Amino acid sequence: MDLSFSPEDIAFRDQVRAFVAQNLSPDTRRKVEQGRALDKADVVEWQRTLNRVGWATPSWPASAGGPGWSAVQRYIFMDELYAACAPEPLSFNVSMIGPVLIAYGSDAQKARFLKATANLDIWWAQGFSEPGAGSDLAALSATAVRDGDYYVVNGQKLWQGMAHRADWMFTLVRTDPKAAKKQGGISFLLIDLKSPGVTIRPIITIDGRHEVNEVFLDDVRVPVGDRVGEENQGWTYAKYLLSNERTGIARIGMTRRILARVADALASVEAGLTEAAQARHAVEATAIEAELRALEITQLRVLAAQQAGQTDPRSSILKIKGVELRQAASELLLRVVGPAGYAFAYEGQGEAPSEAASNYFTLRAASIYGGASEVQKNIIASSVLGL
Amino acid sequence: MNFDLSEDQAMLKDTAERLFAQAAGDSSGDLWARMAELGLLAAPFAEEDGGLGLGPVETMILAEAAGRAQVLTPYASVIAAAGTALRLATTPPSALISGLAGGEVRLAWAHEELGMPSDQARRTRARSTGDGWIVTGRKINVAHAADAARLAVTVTIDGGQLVLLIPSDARGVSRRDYQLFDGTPASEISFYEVTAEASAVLASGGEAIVLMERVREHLTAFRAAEAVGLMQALLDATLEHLKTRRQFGEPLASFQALRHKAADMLVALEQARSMAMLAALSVEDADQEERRKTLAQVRSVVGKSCKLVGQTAVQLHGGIGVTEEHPVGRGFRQLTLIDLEMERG
Ligand SMILES: Cc1cc2nc3c(=O)[nH]c(=O)nc-3n(C[C@H](O)[C@H](O)[C@H](O)COP(=O)(O)OP(=O)(O)OC[C@H]3O[C@@H](n4cnc5c(N)ncnc54)[C@H](O)[C@@H]3O)c2cc1C
Repeated sequence: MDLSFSPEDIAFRDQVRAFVAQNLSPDTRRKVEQGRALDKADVVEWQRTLNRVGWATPSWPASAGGPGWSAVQRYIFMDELYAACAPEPLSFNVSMIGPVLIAYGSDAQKARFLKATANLDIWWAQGFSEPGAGSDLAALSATAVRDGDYYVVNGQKLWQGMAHRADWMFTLVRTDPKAAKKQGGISFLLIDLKSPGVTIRPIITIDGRHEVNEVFLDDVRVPVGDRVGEENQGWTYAKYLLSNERTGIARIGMTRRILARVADALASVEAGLTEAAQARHAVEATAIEAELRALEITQLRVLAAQQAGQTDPRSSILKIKGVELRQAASELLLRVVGPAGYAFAYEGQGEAPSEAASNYFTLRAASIYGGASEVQKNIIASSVLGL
Repeated sequence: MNFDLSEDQAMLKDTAERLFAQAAGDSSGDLWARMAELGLLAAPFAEEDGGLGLGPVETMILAEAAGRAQVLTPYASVIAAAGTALRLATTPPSALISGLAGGEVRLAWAHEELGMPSDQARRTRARSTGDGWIVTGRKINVAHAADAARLAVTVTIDGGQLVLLIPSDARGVSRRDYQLFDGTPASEISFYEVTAEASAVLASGGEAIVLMERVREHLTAFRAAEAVGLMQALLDATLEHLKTRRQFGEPLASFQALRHKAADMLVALEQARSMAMLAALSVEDADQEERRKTLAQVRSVVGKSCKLVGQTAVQLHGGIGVTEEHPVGRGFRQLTLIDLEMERG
């Protein structure tokens, strides 16, 4: 048993740290540090900066143009990004569709999409959920009907994050409504969002921001060549995608960043806390920090297992606890900032003096998406505990 | 012991609920004018000042009804806070109170300052000119200030504190408007060398300190009852959602994990309801120590309940719970603000 990183890992960490320090724009850094929304250009510029040195796609194998890092290196890399207040590489591209194309895409799809996906020349949206299919994703009802070399797609997708910035959407549609199981009969399609029949409507969330959308698909013609893998096998690819989405979901570095803001706010005269409240909040911060430390080790244990080539249902632990701690830290920040953080600004209507409230509201959704906490607990109960 | 409403109180509840439900559906009408017409603004004031001479229980009924309908009324700021400052002033300004009770004039309570716990002497200062005061300082989060003709301002003077009235358009008063995250319009108000006459003082010295505390207590009682209404609204919406939303071929209500969470919401709500009643029945208690202790307990329980009910309502709604458009999302933000206020005192 040994918790220390190898000398190579440490050299790697130093290299990443130096690179980020030299290349991250101060404006982007400030936004991430304060929890402000990033513009599209901020995200694209940073992704391309990373891509120039081959680091934009940490989890991709070298054969697919990725850096071919070990799990520990990936962990170190992400940790450094968080610590330096750098944005993550765009997860829709890097953690979701990229690995699916690498594993299941045709050669033509790989040639067409992988480089552009890594460089964010194409911004992807995730078109999975629907009004009637949330936790129960397999209940989805959007349909694709074959018409020669095309599918004609109809349906409504809901909650597409950043679809208003996106060029393409990977999506699940029903191609065989008569399949015996609802998980059968689903296909995985890539849809060019500029296609006729695609309508994207904004949804404003309680944090005052525009991140999610509804996407309406009305007789959208999708070339059969834009289907990933086999017809009616889409559920297999979707499950693969969702399992990748869940790695690194603990986002420990992000919670650390919120705790750093808590520490700043506790020291600030603007907080106007009584001594008793200050002491209480400091204790609360320490408790979150301790749990975070534990989660960090848990994550490394799960990583070590992954390194050895096992999949691990314990990643649900990382999701549940990671979200819980992020939510707790953001709530603590809100309480410490207090009246200085009551003012609120909707996106596009100026900057609020503090993003504490907005961040707290944003993070309420984290226990809903990516597998809601209740659903994760069901997974633990059945897959880990065997109940 | 009796927890029932009197006949008049039940009527008031009915009137208020109908009015607020209507206002929630149609925000175009002037709710404040309707409230004035129905006599709701006059409720807590003495009859000789144009009021109805009703008590904290009636105020609780109004606050709860407003919360239940999720309407943002200026009642807390104008009547529960500024109105209390007038009502309990050393010499209550009768004409102004009757204007307030009749809805002809509005006031705002300008107390909060950046970096100041709410129970400490203010950084806004006044110096004496012999026959009046000159005020300089800054207040934040003054709710509904844009519609207020006068501001009830808390200040520190040499050797003490004052509560005084300053016209919003007085020379040297400037205002920056914004929104609080619960949707309330609010302002940062700066006072620069603003002149106030001696007659503008509502209370000074020890009486000013007591007055500030009384205002905070009445605000707590009001907000606690408003929170109960809000929590009831969110619980109702959540139960409806659990019964109608289906996933995995079943209504969400069939999942035990969610049934237990709904039960937790009810437990929290009932604890808060008890405390809102206790607040109403204690806020006029003559024993200051007892009152102080009780209201601290009210804040503790209500704050916790706001958090549990708000967070759970959003979680059980899933994605639609975090949308601006959905009442549960907005109600959660309203409860969050009350929670923070309760914690700050
Ligand atoms: C901010 C945000 C961004 C999103 N981004 C995307 C995106 O980019 N692309 C995309 O396709 N989707 C996206 N989603 C959708 C997300 O995946 C769904 O919200 C999620 O799957 C939950 O579904 P739902 O909202 O319909 O809630 P529901 O599934 O209706 O769940 C409601 C409640 O019931 C609980 N519940 C459900 N089933 C069970 C059960 N069996 N046992 C116990 N409890 C249960 C849930 O945990 C939850 O508390 C996003 C959602 C949000 C809020």
